[in-house]
Order: sequence, then C-alpha cells, then structure tokens
Amino acid sequence: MRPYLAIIKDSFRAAMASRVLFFLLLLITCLLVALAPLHLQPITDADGKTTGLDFYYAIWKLPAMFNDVTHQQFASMVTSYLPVYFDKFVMSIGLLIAIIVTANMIPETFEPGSLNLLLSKPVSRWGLYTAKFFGGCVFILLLAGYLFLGVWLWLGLAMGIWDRAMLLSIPLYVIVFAIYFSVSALVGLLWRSPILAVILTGCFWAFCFVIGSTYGAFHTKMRNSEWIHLLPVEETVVVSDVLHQVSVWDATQQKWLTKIDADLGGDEEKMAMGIQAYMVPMRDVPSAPGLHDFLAPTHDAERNQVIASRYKFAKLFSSGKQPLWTASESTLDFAEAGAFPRETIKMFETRQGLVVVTSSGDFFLMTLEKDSSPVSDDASDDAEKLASNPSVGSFKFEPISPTNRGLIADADHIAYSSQRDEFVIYRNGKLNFVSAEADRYQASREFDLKLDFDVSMTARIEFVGDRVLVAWGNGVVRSANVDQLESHIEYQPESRSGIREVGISMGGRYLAVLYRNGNLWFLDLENEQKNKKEFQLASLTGQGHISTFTFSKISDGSETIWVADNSDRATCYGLVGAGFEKQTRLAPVGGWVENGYRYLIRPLYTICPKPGEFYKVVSHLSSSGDTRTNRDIDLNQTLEARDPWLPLWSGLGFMLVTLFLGCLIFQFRDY
Amino acid sequence: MNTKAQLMSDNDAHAPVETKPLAIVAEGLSKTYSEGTIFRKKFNALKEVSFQVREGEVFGLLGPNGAGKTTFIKILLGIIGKSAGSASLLGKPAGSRAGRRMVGYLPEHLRIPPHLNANSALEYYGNLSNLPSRTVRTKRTELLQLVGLADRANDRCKKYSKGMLQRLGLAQAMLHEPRLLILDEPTDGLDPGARAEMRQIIKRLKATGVTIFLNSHLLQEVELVCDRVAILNEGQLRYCGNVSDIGDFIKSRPSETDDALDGLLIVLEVTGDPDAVNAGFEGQTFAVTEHEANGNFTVKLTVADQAAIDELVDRLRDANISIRSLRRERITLEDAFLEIVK
Repeated sequence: MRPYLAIIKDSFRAAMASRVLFFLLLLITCLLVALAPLHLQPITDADGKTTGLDFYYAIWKLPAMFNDVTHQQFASMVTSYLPVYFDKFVMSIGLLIAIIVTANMIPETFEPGSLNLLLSKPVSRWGLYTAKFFGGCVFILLLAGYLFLGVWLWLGLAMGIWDRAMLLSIPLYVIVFAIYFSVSALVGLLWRSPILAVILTGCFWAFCFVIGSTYGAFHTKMRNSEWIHLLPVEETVVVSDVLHQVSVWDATQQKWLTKIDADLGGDEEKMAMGIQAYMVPMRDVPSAPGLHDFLAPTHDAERNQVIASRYKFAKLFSSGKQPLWTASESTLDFAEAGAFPRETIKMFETRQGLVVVTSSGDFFLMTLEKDSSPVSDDASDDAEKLASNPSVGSFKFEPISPTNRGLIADADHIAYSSQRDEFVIYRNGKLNFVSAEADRYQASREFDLKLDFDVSMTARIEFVGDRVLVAWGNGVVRSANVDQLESHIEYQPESRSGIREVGISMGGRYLAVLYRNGNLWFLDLENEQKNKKEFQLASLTGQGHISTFTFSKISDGSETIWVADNSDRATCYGLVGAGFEKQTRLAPVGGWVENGYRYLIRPLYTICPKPGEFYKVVSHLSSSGDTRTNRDIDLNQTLEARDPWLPLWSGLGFMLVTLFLGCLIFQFRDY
Repeated sequence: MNTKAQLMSDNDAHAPVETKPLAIVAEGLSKTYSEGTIFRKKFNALKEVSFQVREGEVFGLLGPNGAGKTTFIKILLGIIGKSAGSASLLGKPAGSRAGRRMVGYLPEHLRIPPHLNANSALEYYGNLSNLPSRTVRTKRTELLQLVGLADRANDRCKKYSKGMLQRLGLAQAMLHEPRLLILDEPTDGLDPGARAEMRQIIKRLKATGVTIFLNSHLLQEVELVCDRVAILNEGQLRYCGNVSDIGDFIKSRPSETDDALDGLLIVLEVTGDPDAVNAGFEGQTFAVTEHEANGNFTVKLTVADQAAIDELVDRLRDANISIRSLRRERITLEDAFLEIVK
C-alpha cells in the first residue's frame, strides 16, 4: 500500500506547489469574506413567536424579502436552491480550471524518463494508474473542501442553518471532477497529449450536455402528456392529460382516441404551447396558466353521461369561462353544452345529482333546462340530444350553498362521502363538514386537526364511507374515522417528495397515497397488524412512474384500481385480499416521440454520466429538505427531482468503467 | 554504506565471480515491435539474445544506437514484454515484482517531478520501493553526500543541471540497497570530474558485492570499470566476454574486408630524410599518421612477427634513419567495438 500512498502524497505535493491552486483558494477566500457579513435575525411577535426574517449585511438592514417565512422554510429554500447556484456558477468554473490544470498530469507521468523509473519499481501497473488517478483528484478536493467548509460555517454561524449537504458536497464534487478526469486521464494515457485531453474532455462535457438536454426536453414532453385523471366507464376508461385533453381507449385500434382537444386558441398559442410542452413540466408548476380550473370527467349517473370541462388557453383579462362538455356513456363522443358557473373547481356525483363546487364555497346542483326545447321524458336522451346539438337546450345550476360558506383554496381540499351524503372541506388545519339538509347543504361541524406544522401547507383530502384521509405537502398522512377524529393515525411513507393524490377504496379497506416521485403506497386496513400499520410500496407495473390512480367497482361488486404509469399506460388491478391481481393493461403503440424516448433517449440518459446534475444529489441529501426533521417544508412547492441518486450511480459507474479501461490499456501496453 | 551486499560474508564477496549465482540470465530473448495502425510493420529489436551475468560482476552492454540495449533492459524490468525466449533477474522471472524489488535502476533521460527536491524525491522513490519514510530519512543524507548533492538537498529539482539529476537518479537507485544496479548511460551529462566520481562509486559498490549492469556509449568508461561486456548490433549479440579478451576475439574472427589486424600492430616514431624513410618502409603496408616539418614521422604498420620487426629495424638503421620509439599497439575496446559493429 505504501507505494500507492506515496503516489497520492506526491500528487498532493504537486497540487500544493501549483500557483493556480493558491489563486483559486484566494478567490474562494474573497467570496467567503464577501458572504461573511450577511446574516439574519428573526422577527418575533409579542408572544415571542417567529413571524419572519430580517436580513443584515454587517450593520445595514437589507430590504424585506422573507418577512413572512419561518426559519425552517427559509432553510429549506436555501438548501434547495443554493446547490444549484454553486453547481452552475462556482463549481463549474472550478472544475474547468481543475481539468485544465490536471490535464498534464498523466501525459507527464508517461514521459519515458519518468515512466520507466516508475515501472521499474515493485508496483503493479493498475495500482500505479489508479493511484495517479486519485492523486489527480487531490487538487479539486482541496478547492471543494475549502469552499464548502467555508460555506457550511457561514450558513451555520450567520444563518443558523447547519446543513450536512454542504459538507457532503465535498466528496460529491470530487466525484464530479473524477468523472471528467477519468476521460482526461484515458486520453492522456492513449495519446500523451494534455491539449487533446482538454479538448476531448470538453467534447465529453458537450456530449453529456446534449444527452441531458435532449432527455430533459423529451421527458418534459412526456410528463406534459401523462394521464392525470382516470374515469372507468363501462368496459373502457376515460383519461385526461396535463393539457386537459380527454381521451378514450379504443380496444380495436389499441390506442387512445382524443375526444376533447385542448382549446389552445389560434396558431400562435398552439405554437407557444407546443414549445412550452418541451420546456416546462406544467404539472410541477403550481402557477401554470389555466391549469387550475380543470374539471376532470365525472359520471352523471342520473343522465348516464360523462361531464367534463376542457382547457382554454388563458388570455389576458379573459373571463375564465369554463366550457361544459357532455357525452353519453355509450358513445363517449363529447360535445359542448354550455358552461360551468364561474370559478367551478370540482364536480361530485351525489345522492341529489351532480353537484359542482366553486372556489368561493358555492354549491350548485346541476339540472337540465327542459323548457327551452322539446325533449323526451328520458333524461339520458335529453343529454344525448344536448351533446349532439347544444343549441337545443342547456344545463341549469341550482344554488344549494351552505348559509355560512367559506373559501375553498384548492380543488383537492374538498371531498364527498356518498355513504354519508356529506362533504368535508380542509381549511388551514381544520376540517369543515357540510351535510345534506332538506334542499341544500349546511355546515355541520368543524374539527381542528391541531397540526404541529404550517397549516397553510398544500393538502389532499379523500372521504369515503366513514373514513377521512388527509395528506400534506410535507408527506405526512393522517387517517381517521369521521366519528372518532381525535384518534387519528399518522403515517409518513415518504419525507422527500410531495403528495400528488390520495384515495380510499370504495369499501374503505384500502388507503392509497401517490407521491410526486411516482411512488404509489398502500395500506390495507384489514391487514394492519401484518403490515405493522405502515404503508407498503405495492408491486405494480410502472411503480415509480405512476401519475394517477382511481378506485372503482365493477358490475359484480368486486373492487378494482386503475393505475396510470409512464405517461399513457393504464393498468387495472383487482383488489383480491391483500394483493393486486392484474386484469387489464392498456399500452398503446407509441409514436416516434414515445418510442424514441422509451427505447433510446431514456436508456441512454440512464447509463450516461450526468455530472451537471449532482446538485440534485446534494439537495436530496440536505437535512433541511427532509420533512422528518423539518415538518414545515411544503414539498409540493419545491422542484421535484426524480431519481435523485441517478447522477451519482451513473457517474460512479462511468468513472469506474473508464478507470478500468485505462488500467487494462496500461497493463498490456509496451512503453 | 551499509548495503545488503556488505552483510554477505567476506568469502562470498571475494569469491571468484565464476562460482557466484547468476544475476541476469537471458535465453534466446527476442522482441518484435509492430508499428503502424492499419498496415502493421514488424521490426525485430532483439534477435535471440543469450548471455548471463553473475552476481558481483560489473557488466557492460554496448552497441550503437538502435542496437537493442534499452529494449533488453526494459524487458528485464518488465517495462515491455518479450516476444520470445526467457529472462530472469536474480532467479526471479524478468519483469516480476519480486525481481524488481531487488533492482535499482537509473534510466536514460531521467526526469524527476519538478516540484520535488532531493530529499522529497528520495522519500518518494524510497516509498515506491516500499521503504518507510523514516528509513529513507536516516539514509538519504549519507547517500546525497556520496553523490555530491548534500548541499543542494533542499533545492527544487527543476533548478538542477542534467548532471545533478543523474547523481540524484543514482542515489535513488541505491536507496533501497539493491542487489543489482542497472545503470542506463550513468555518465551522460556529467563533467569529467563527476565521471571520475561515478567510476569511484561503481568500484565501491562492486567491492560490496553489488552486481552492476551498465549500458553506456562511452567505451573508455566501460573499459575502465567493467569486468565483462556484451556487444549488441542490430538486435544480435556479437560479443560477450571479458574486456581483456576482446582483442583476441577480434583477431580470431574471420574478416573478409580487412586483414590489417592479422599480425602485430606497431607504431614507430622515426626521424630522417623523407626519401630515406620511404625507402626504409618499402614493401610494407604502412600508414604515416604524422609528418612533422623537421623530418619526424609517426608510422603505424602491421608486421607478421618479431623477426619481421627486427628485420625492419635493421633496414631503417642501415638507411640512416633514427628510431625515436617503437611500441606494440594493443586493440582497444573502441577498436574492437568499431570492428564488430561495422
């Protein structure tokens, strides 16, 4: 071991003798000295509770920026975005200089007067090459160590954020450098030219960039076309994608047929949306225009039809009208048939009929306006006529709002139990129940959940039978019987991904929670002891890439669950005992975009190194990003990094393969 | 210096070389290089070379540029692989780590990392030979004094002259007290004084029983220090034996182009009238190597035997030519080398 340690030690000596190293260390010192006076002081109210943060540069107070966030939320923001800035601005420059400085290292070793002497020593060639390689990483280790240790101390002392991610960045960025250096070393070994080593390392960076960008564009496109809602209808399933296009499975053609196109307006809007589809993962952007006013297809059992809205391209100062589309369950051919009340956020199939709810807390019962045209006695016939020719009549929305109505912040904050004919609305840590009373709904009771985290956090709620299931943006899930809300059970299957959807099976036996990272977790309430009262990651096709799910019941009374994965795939499972029995898999033959993505770009991206994405690993390792230690973080408001470990594994794999290749060439080559 | 060789018994150190174990053995050693990427061209750098070097010997490997000397050394050290034949170092297969552990090597065109000084370089190379730093630190002062670098021990190597680097290279080769020293052009870049010092070091090492394998262009150096030499030309072994026997070898080998060496080579310094001198040497194949203005001549010629010398002296005296000196010329290593490789 001593000879190999000597080589690494010699590399350390070489680094310490480098003027470039001291110049870079001086630059880092300047950066740290500039940052050092920046510090914060909490703003406290009369009770001593922190209400916000004030920032100072030395003794000067800076303009208010974060006067309404808690320290933990600020810590989460810092540890989420700081790694990105360091990655893109500071470390990229440091890495570039380090690659240029170390490019000469291997070619210099391979000069005959130097190499012959080394090879005459009792050392193995693979050991010699490996030691030289790791010795080359000493340069960046010194730089990254000084920078991140300094930033860690500054964050801790001045900001009160002692985040391990800063310290873990040191080995991580050494690995990033090692990925590039493995290429530089291999080129140096093969051609003994430092200039060629720098050029080909640059080409390698460009290759990684092109692969990463191409994958990013295609991945975003696929994310933007993934199913976000499923509605089983008779023998088929109606699905809606991110742009709110509604499609139906055609078994004969084995593909999805679009039934409602997104109304993108004119050609310019279509082009803009087309470009945006490749650039912005819209489902991950809470403020994406127009996406909040979507009404997913819903059964209208009374008239045997399906009601839906569709996306309208948001125009400046537009009225925000939501067109109403209907289709009979037999044909599923949608046609526009009027409009929903303003700010409608959700539809429910209730005992009274189809009820729509607005964000201002109004409830409307949807009925058919019969007096405008001759219609038959059969309501479904009327709907069909309306669907085929909207001018023959229109729907009427009869107000059935509670007397004391309140705002409903999000469509996911309200749920309905048909068994109890009761709504539950989540408002800032409280549950408000709205029950049927004569010809309208009335607020019946309020229950304070007594949350020990930020009550304004995004939440998802489901209400089936007597069971209420609430999940929050920090990944916490609570389940309780509606009559015994005090004795709830709390779970937290994931602490680094926000909540996408929650669900309860029709019979109330299964609870399901879908996280933003595509993981679908299940809890079998009748098998609680066996499962140790914990959610289990079910063995489902496409697990980790699931975009939505829905529980349903088929005609024989047995329960099923439909799960959508990988953008446009849908699978139906029968809920048999504690297991899942796959019944139907709907997987269309994709076009060139889908096939190119699935069979070329995604596999290539998976195996290719991703040195430019290590900030994802750093963010993932951040102690401030873990809601088990910081429950105030709303993970639904942060950037979702799928497969955060992938850059590390693929990078390490690539580095080891390249290193092995270098050892192999060195071992069998004459010098 | 407290070398391993010194730990050997006096009997071993001073035993006749012929009885000592073999340090280097080469049997039919061949090396073929392939050049070119698409159209591979083969080049035979070594052709079935066989010879042996015993422990305690100072052995010189000679040959013109491209003869295969460095290739031979590289095969011994495992820097390149052999194409055919076999070789061993101190009983271990050539190129093996066990063999290299017992060898000190000074390469040609030595390059030492410029950020090192003599002290840190010795620590680095000592560690590479698996010597602990503590051991290196106890030995390096003495070694640097031996090679004359003690007063520059803390100077960066990038400030060193070529000769100083060579001396540092020799120090690192001796650091781990190897049983075999392979020195590739050790006097390259050294001034005459330093060369003399290098010869002294080699002689001192020889006295301690260390085997020295020398590769040099400087034939006089080799002649002065080596017991035996091998001469390579175009990858083939042309001679291997004692330096003192090389004249006999040259004489014994058939020569189609020049029979000048068949007989006794003598050099005469004579004074006389130029016409008389010409007459005196009539019938002889001779060469006037020097003709001074005052009638002094230096003449080199080959005669059959001593009787012929006597007859020539008589004739010159009869012609009134003064003989200032007469000496028999020995065949030098350089003469032999040039004769062998021509």
